[in-house]
Amino acid sequence: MSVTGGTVLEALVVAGHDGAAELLVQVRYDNGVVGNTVLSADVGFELMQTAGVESLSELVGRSWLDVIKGVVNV
Amino acid sequence: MFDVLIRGGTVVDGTGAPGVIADIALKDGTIAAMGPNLTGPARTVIDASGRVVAPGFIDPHTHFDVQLLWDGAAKPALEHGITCVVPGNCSLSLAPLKVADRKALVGMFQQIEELPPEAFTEAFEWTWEDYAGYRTALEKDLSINVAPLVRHSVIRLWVMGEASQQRAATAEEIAAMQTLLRQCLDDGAIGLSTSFIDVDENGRPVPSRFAQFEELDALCAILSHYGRMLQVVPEFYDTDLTIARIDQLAELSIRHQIPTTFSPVFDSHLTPHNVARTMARVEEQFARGARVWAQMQTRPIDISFSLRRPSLFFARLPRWVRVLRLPFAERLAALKTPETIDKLVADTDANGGIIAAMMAELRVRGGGEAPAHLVGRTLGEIAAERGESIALALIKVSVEHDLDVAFIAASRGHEDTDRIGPMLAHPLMHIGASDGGAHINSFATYGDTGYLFSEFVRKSGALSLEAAVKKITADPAQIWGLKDRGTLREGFAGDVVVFDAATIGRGVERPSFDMPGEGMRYIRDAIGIEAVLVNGQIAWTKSGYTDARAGQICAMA
Repeated sequence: MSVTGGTVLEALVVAGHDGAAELLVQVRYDNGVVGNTVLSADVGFELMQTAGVESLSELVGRSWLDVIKGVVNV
Repeated sequence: MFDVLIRGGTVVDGTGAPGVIADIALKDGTIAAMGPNLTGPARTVIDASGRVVAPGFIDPHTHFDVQLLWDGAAKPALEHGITCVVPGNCSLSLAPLKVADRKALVGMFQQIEELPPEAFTEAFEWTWEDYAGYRTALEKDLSINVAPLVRHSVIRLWVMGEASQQRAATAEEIAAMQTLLRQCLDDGAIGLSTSFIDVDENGRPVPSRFAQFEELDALCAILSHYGRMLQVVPEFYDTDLTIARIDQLAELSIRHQIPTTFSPVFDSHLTPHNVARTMARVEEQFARGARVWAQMQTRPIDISFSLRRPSLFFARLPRWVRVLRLPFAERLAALKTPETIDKLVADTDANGGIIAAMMAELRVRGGGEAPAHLVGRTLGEIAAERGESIALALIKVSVEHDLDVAFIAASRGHEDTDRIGPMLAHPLMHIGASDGGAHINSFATYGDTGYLFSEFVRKSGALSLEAAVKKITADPAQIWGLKDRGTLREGFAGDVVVFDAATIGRGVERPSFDMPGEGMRYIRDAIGIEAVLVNGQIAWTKSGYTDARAGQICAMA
């Protein structure tokens, strides 16, 4: 079985607690659990850049492990 | 002779009981008499006929720690009917703090509360290190009641110094923290706050986040001696982590017989099961004997941005993102280039103009350079007036003012009144989390109580008038253990608000340049409030603030 770290199901802009727009990424992990991750603007943009996408819709279907490789040391 | 006689109002006493027409007499700071047709002279008589007379509102989640040092009314909270605030939430407070650590703490405050530097250098004299000294400075000029928490991070910082943001504490250090917490509680702190999510100005976790469970457990053992509150900020963006924290709080609550509360709890159509799952676990833990109060704000969440910083608001528009991520000078130049402008505008017209239509609803919120005549108006209105497309108007207005014009996309989270109402009405949901005094450049933290009445009593009917009053008066007083407050009863504190049930609400958000150094913050004016009394003295009327300085550090039951 390949380890993908999960698959991105959805990527949306949401209202953050402090009034900033944040990035909500919904991931189905390898064990089947679906969970949400919320990223700040800085991290969100960095993630989009390192993942090589120009719009959020391009994140959908991507490997979560692959997407976050450029942002965190995995 | 009474000091004040409030005559003929509908008394909603905070217990949830139906309102009755009665008089209330205040003397020496407390409620001296209540009943129909009270007789006896009074220095001041307030005609409350046709109005509601209720206990002063209590705001249990604020960050007024600094502002109270130059503004003892926590303006404009008091004029919204708030007579008691709980500052010190989320693991940051101004004491205890060694002189050498002031700089580090100021950075954390500026990160979390967005206070201008002048707030710390010009607005007050920093005379204390210990909690007793802070209390003395705080009490000097209060016209609102204060029930301050002490924050875990500063206790950790005091004991461990720089290591507080590096490692777990030793047994000796934990013992020293216990001693320090005990001293703070003796000196007026009403409980302890901690955070599992906050970061400092350098993006590092605040000191409390380096604590292991043993440390928190040891501090709760001290709270246990006093029966005091532990307030936490959990990983609220993740339901499963929040539930794990609820279980942890429940263990602490049962083991040490203390109340606990966590905030905030948000609802969103993107996470539609969050509140239901959270409250289900809260109910389970209450059934076990734990006290774990969820805390929810009434107001919706807005998205705010300017073209000064890249915002994810534009994440669907790749060309906009590329331009807005340019260094400032290059960005400004690009936004003045006709070819670039044409392409940016064209992008918003794609997909049938959905994005342009969304942009048309944006409102000019403020910002350092926003001209006053534009504030509060929609981008659609401004574009029509200028004879420009929506996106072009957004760009041009921003460029004309050095990109320092803030826009707001209103109600983009926690916004569905029909869903929020029943959540607020849940008997284990504590209404709070206003964040008063924090995020001052991002949104107004005032008027949540007015919004409770306008939106959830008058508009949706999710709560009766009496239930809404109880939620923000007797309930918080009992949850936190505030002595003789939150209810209109003879012998209780003379904290009273007189308001018009038909109109109470919140004004539109507007920028105000009344912070130290003429710093900007967003505020909302009160609507429908007639008078606010604190400890038996009139602190505010529709004519404005009075000279009364009757605020106190709250005593605990």
